[in-house]
Amino acid sequence: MISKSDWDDVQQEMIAEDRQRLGDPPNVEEVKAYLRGELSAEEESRVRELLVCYPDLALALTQEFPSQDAKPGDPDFLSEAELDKQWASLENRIHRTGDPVEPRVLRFWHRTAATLAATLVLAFGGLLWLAQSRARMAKELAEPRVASEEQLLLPDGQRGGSGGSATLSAEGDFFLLVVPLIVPSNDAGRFAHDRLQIVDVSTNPPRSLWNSAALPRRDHDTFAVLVPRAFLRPGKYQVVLYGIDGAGEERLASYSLRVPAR
Amino acid sequence: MTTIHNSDSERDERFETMFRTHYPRVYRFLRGYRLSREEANDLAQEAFTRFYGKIDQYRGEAEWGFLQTITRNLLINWWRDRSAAKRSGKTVEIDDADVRLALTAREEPDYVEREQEALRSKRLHAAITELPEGQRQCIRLQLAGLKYDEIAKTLRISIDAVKSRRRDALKSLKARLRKEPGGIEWPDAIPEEES
Repeated sequence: MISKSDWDDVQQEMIAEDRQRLGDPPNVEEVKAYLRGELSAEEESRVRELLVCYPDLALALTQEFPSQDAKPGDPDFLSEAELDKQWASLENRIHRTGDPVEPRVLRFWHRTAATLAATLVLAFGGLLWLAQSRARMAKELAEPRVASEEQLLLPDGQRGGSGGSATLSAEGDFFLLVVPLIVPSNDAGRFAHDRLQIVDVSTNPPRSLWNSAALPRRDHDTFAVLVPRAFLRPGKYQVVLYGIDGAGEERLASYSLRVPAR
Repeated sequence: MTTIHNSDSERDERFETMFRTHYPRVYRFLRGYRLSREEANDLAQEAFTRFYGKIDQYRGEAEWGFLQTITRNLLINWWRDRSAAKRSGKTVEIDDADVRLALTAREEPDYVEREQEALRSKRLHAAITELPEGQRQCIRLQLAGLKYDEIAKTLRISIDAVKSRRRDALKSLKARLRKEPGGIEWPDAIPEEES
């Protein structure tokens, strides 16, 4: 017969096995995050398993405090004399830490110092975050990436009968915009450089989002611009081409495009 | 209306009242977890010391709630430290309730009994291990003495889910151990019928 002591033995055995496998009980922060449902599924499962193999811990979290004091004769009863002794000990302990007799002036400086420390932590935290973001960005930029879509843009007014904007697909994280330099023949040799601009035309007035540097005009007269999708929210945009000569710049063409919502 | 910033004497008076009202309950709670008298007093003192540092922020029922939270947190950390110390093998406390339990000598069974006991444990171990995770966790927590509401809170599920998992687990265990000679003696913590 499976006896009560068999159950106890197996329970102890399983607890020992699990503790060996899972390690230390969770700390207070982990337990709090677990109870609030803030952990990832994996972490949540780990903490749950730990609570099962540290059942005293689970009890400590969930068991109600006793509603009444122990009665004389109970092993956890505290007599008045013992309570007085504990009170005296606690008073000493608190006074030793200096908390209750801390002069107000000191308290002010402690609070000021704490505020200052918190401000510094925030400031350094911000700087650290910024540095990490930049490092991450630099790493990303140093790696090859694939544009999920290559979109040939045609100058406005030259898209045949459709007259509509080029529409980018809803997928992918980067677009490769191919901007052909189709300009009147009398302008062909006039500009040594060109410049591209991306304008958000959904807003009134249209808002310039990006300007390229001066780009030397090349033989095949096509520019390719790699644009992160995150840069272009759903809406209407124009890529505007400017020709640059020594005297200034001239708007040569615009290329409309539409970014649909995902 | 009481102002948040009390005078020191008013603050100390409030603190002593809190102490006299709640210290015995905090101490009793800690003793319930097999802490020695000394350990329970140490942790209770620490809880009240920390409470004192924030006494101005809490009033009425919130005071007691806050004190409970501090005590629970201290207890969790105390356990964590103690299990780390145990594993590092630095201390062996003969006064430790777990150690005392392990040292309690049982009446020595003969070889055949020992073998049979080992086989029964093995079969029971296998039967529990093969339960689905959720059922196994419910059964093990119940075996450890947790009530339905405590299991529900620990596993972050509803009480109905605990009952349902327990029912399914018992059904599986009965099916799995049905050929056990003499049947199953259910432990006190897991009565066969739902309580």
